[in-house]
Order: sequence, then structure tokens, then C-alpha cells
Amino acid sequence: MEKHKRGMTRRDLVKRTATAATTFAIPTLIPSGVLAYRGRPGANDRIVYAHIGVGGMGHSHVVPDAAAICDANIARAHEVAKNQVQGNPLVCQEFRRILDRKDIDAVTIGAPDHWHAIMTVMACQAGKDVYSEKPVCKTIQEGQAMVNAKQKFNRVVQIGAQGRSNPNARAAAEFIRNGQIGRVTHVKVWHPLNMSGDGWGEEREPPSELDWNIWLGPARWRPYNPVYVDFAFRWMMDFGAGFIRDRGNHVLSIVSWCMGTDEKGPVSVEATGKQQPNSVFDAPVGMSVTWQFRNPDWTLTWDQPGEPETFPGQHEKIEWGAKYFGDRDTLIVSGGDGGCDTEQKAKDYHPQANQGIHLYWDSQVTANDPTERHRQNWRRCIKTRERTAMPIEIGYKVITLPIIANISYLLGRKLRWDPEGARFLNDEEANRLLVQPYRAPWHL
Amino acid sequence: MSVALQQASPEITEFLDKIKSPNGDIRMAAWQSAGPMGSAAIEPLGELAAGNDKGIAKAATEAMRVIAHHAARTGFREAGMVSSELLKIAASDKPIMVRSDALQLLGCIGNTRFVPGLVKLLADPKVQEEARMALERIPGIAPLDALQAAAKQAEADHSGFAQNLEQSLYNRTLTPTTVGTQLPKK
Repeated sequence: MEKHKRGMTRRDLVKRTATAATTFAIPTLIPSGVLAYRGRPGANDRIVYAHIGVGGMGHSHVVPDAAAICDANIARAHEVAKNQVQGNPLVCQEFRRILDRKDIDAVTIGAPDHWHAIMTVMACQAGKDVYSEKPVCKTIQEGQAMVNAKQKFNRVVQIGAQGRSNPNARAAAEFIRNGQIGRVTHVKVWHPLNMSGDGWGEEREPPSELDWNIWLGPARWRPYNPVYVDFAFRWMMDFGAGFIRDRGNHVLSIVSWCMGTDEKGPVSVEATGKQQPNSVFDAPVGMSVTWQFRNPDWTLTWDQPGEPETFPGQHEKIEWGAKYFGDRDTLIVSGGDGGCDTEQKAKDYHPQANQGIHLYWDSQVTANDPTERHRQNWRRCIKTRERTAMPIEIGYKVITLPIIANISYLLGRKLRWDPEGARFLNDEEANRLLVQPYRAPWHL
Repeated sequence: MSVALQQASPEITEFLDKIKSPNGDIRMAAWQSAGPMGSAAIEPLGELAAGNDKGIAKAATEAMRVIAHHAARTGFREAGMVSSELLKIAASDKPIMVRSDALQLLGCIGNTRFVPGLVKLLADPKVQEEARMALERIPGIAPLDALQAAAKQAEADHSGFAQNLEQSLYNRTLTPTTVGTQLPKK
């Protein structure tokens, strides 16, 4: 019962009260203006949003009527509140203040990567719906916790893998899934090196506007160094773990869509990487990874930098993307995020109605920009409680690929993976790395 | 030069010379192939990891990581000896991050033999949190018993660290199907 109470949002409560009021015909309990009718949303249809982590992509999610803005950097939180929000939102560094607010229905999470899982889990437990930026999480256990929390507390959780709201990505996926290039045996992903530079930064006291303890959160303690924060946290294994888990989340999401492996996984992974010897950053600047899939058998490779491909008839090398090798044809898909593109032959292909594979597409959202479509899809699903374009269950399956690749890199050996059990076979040390103990007081 | 560096074998001395090279590519090639150097290289690498030259310290830290994971391969028996050397570093007066790195590796490759040494570090405010996390990660009954005993003692001492230990005990109860489903205690 306690779980049920905490899982109920202000909006749920108002709706239930409204339903009860209608059923029992006690009109004086609910003012008529509060109730909705077709064509005119009532006050109880308004979703109250708050935003946690508003640097980078985080600030792009901010709505003008946000109830709260939270960031470990309080100066940034105030700046976003001042420039992007009307009214007088709560501005804070501690996200639990947002979770404690019963009037807030939904949160976006744009904090650094090591925060995504625990914030999502705690938000679900507090009865909030969640839009969490990619990458989904750092460890397999975190992914399991996010799925469990979403399901147990009946939340709508969208992962910010915006390629799933991109029509070109969907066209590519339907083209491949409907056999237009034949049986696919190899998918090659290429991506530039990490953008981490040489140098060591300088360990020092954090600036007064930054709460370093909050920024670190569940990650093990280390002294503040200005090079860690903002975009560059991606190049630290404790926080971001390189492009393979960052943009890799995007491109591997599209690979999973195209190959129909949203509910499957590889049976082995082998990764190597190369660091920068004169840099504070410890994520490999480039990696080569091979995942093997079975039934059907196919191979997925990640090469960083790899050999960029070019769309037919064009000369410009594509910065990052994937090439699908079928036994009849090939297909190139660039990127994997909102800017994803593909070859014209896939865009021209449309499976016949009632035949072939038709993939998820939210025809009720109106935006043309895929990133905005993705947000609109989440907002719509909050109202309808439908599945989103990128639900956490699929997000967890996708992020498993780079997570186990990073473990293979760290351990320096090929690993066999049980996709159903979500464990490595015959490697106890590798299995210990499926879990990362958290610094207190944070726990899943 | 430290005793550890002076007493190293010719093979390890040659390896350490590469770790100390002013050329970053040479340092990286050395750390990437450090696995076979084994436990004998850990102590001198700990000295280098604690040094002031950041490039050499990084190379030494990465070399310890490579050696530890190499030692923990299934079917090999080197993990215990490497863990012993890592525990010495964790218990030393070296900089906190050097000790923290050693404890993180111990959590990955250590076994129940190292529980008493880790328990001692629970009383060291500088690394007690990292020692707790290492104990949390090592499978088996002994780490669990040690965490329970430490939590009980910390409770009796009215230590704020008791909550951290309780967190580890809680985490040890989690399974893939229960993690994320339990509401936080008020």
C-alpha cells in the first residue's frame, strides 16, 4: 500500500478524485473549470515538469512553465531559470527536493552519466515520470534497477535516444527488417576518436557555485579538477566511459532497431582500446569492438576511428554511422541521434499495409524535428500511459552492448555473454563488474 | 630510489624503465603489456603511481590495473599474490587516489583472505568508504559477516559510518529482479 501511495502523482490523485466526484454526483467537490472536456484541456491535464541537470542537452528539455530547475552548479540553475522559465520556479542543487514535491509529475534528467540510473530509479519511486538522457546507465545492475523501478511504480520512462523518433532511422529499420538487403551478416559502426585532449588540468577547490559532493554523487570520491565537469566527464571511466557509451548509445540503438534485437543480445564481446598517455582522462580514446550474435548469426563491429563511409553519389565522408552488409545489398545509416539519415532507397521504401514489418511510429506528435518529436512522444505518453518510442526496457538492452564492451576492454580479454541471464559465462571477475558499489548515501 | 625499485628483477627493472620513459608512447606500450609482470611489479608501481610526474603516475596506475585483471583470469592463480600487494598499497600512507585505486582493484580480484585487511581499513577515515565498497563487491560469507560485525560496532560507537555499512548490507541483498523496487527508508 505504501508503494501505491508513493506511486500516485498529484495528477493521478486529481483525476481519481474527479472521477469519484463525477460518479457520485457531488459537483461541489471539484470546480467545473478544473475538469477537462474534448477540445479543452482542464487544469488537471497540465503536467507539471521539473528539470534535473540543465547543462548540455539538459537545458534543451526545459519548458517555460517548469516548476523547478536543479543543477549541481547553482549558477547554471539560476541562469536557466532566468532565461528559460517564466514565473518563479524552485531553483536548487539537491534533486531530492524536487522528488519531495508532490505537485511535480515528471522530470527530465540531464545530469552527468553516472547519475542517470539512480535519479531515474528514485524519481520512479517518488511517482514521477522520467525522460532521462542517454547513455541509459553505467552498469548492468543499474539498467535492471531502472527497468524494475519503472515497472513496479508504473511510470513512463523515455530514454533520450532520439534516433527512435527519426523518420530516416525508421525507414532504414523497416527497409532492413523487411529483407530489402537480404540476410545481414555484418554491421560495421565507425566513429571518430574521443574529443579528449592531452593535459592534466589542476586539482583544486571547486568553485563556490558547484557542489562537488553532489556532482560526484554515487561515484567514488576524487578531488575536483575543472577538466572533469561539463562535456569532458565523458572521458573518465568513473563518469562517462567514452564515446562508445555516449554516441554509441545512439548508433547502437539504431542497429538494434534495424536488426530486431531490442529483446536479444550478443553471445560474446571482445574489445581493445588505446588511451592517451599524457592525459588525465582514462577512457580509451579509440576502441575496436566485436560482438557476435547467434540465431541468426551476425557480427557487429565498432571501430573508432574506423573507415568512414560515404552516401552513394556524394563525396563527403560521414562522420559516424553504420553500414549494414546483407547478402543482396548494403545500406548506410549516418549518425543515430536526431540527425540520423540514410540512403534514398530506404526512404522510398514503404511496406504495404497489413504486410511486412511496421515499426513503432508516433503519428500523433506534430513536430518535424526528431528531438522535439521524442520529447512530444514522452509528454503524450505521460497522458495516455502508452509505451514510449524508447522505453527503458529497450534502452537497457541497447546500453548492455557498450557496457560489456567496456568491461572486455578493462579486463583485456574476450568474454562470453549470456543475454538471457545478463551475466558473463565462466568469468567471475567480469561478473563483479556488472555492479558498481555506490558511495554512500546513494543506493539503488 | 625506494627499496622496492632497487630490489626489482632485471626483467621488472627494464619494464619499470619503460614506465618511467619521458616518451608517452613507450610508457603506454609498457602498461598495455604489463600483465605478465605479475605481483612482483605491484610494489614498485605503487611507488611510481605516488610520484609527482603525472605521466609516469598514470602509466604506473594503468599497469597495476592491467596486472590485476591479467592475474584474475579464470583458471589462473596469481590473483591472491597481486591482491596481497594491492592491500599493502591500500594500507600505506600513499596519496588517497593511489590507495583508492588499489582498493577498487581489490574489490574486483580479491577473495575472502583479504577481508581482515580490508576490515582494518574501515577505521581509516581517508579510505574507509573505498574499503567498504571493496568488501561489498567481494563475494562470499566472510565479507558479509565482516560488514555485519563492522556495522554493529559502528552502531554501538554511534559512528556516522554505520549508515554506510548498512547500505552495503542492503546492497548485498539485492537481486536482478529486486534491485530498484524497494522504497528508500525515511
